[in-house]
Amino acid sequence: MKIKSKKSFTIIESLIAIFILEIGILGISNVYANSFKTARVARNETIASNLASGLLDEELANSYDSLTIAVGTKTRYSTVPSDPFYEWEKKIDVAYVDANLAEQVAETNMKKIVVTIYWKEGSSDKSFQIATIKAKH
Amino acid sequence: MPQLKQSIKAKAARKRSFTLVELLVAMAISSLVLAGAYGVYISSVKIYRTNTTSSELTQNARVALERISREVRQSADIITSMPENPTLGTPAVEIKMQDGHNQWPGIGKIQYIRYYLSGSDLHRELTHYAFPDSSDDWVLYSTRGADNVEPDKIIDSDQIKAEQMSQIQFWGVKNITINIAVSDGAQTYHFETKALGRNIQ
Repeated sequence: MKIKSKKSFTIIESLIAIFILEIGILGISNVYANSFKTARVARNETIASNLASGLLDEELANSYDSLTIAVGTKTRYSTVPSDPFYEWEKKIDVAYVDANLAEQVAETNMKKIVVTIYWKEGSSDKSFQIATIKAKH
Repeated sequence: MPQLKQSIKAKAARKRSFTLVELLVAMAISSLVLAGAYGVYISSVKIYRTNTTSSELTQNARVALERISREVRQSADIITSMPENPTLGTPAVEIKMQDGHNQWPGIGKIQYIRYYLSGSDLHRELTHYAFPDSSDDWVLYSTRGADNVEPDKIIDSDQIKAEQMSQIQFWGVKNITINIAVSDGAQTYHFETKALGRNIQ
């Protein structure tokens, strides 16, 4: 009995040990795969924020009165298929807001412009939103 | 006697070294494990490099867009002629504008900012215009002296502001679209924004 308890690892024990090690290694490689995705997320957020602030500037070029109160519709950022942003979508909403930034139906002399950019990241839908206020003067 | 003999035999058996086969099997298994670990290491280095490049490219693009759009927003005048949109003509590949800080004659030093690509470097060039006889009086580029003489153009500085740019394009009237691409050869990313020149008359 004493001899038996002192014997080396069995092949099963070794295999289990190696299996667990491999699971660990796979876990580490998963971390790297995630870092790849995270870099893509960061890049797409940068692209989206630049597109959104550009559209916001475009809206700000309009006078207060020419900003139409409306919930926007989602349309392509560019209608040209060869454009790098053909797959990206935009939506622009304009609404009256009061001093507490709550949306109102009636005229408040302040309009809130909300720009939303939509894009696909793998199979998930992403969006980025910024807003500003234009006052009547 | 036979009992004693057996126990000595058993003791000897317990203390014996690895057999050649055991050693070979152990080496084969450990080299498999090491090969796996090496594969993971190599791919992690590759992904690390790709990610570093990607974030460097994004950073360069972000800096370029932020700098140019801020100065377009402040600018008093866009000098470069560009189409209203790409369907109406070829976009400009550089932009020259009047610095919005000292924009009115007589108030300050009128300066011009030009962004252009040299190779894959984005340059920001600062210039001013003056007549030789009054070099401290910085005038508009369109100012003409006696006999319709053009003022001298003096370059004040020319610095690289971003690298790894493969394209810059501009179009629009007052609301200028800035379209850029960054690339390291293997990866190319496009960025775009618009900036409204709030001070443009």
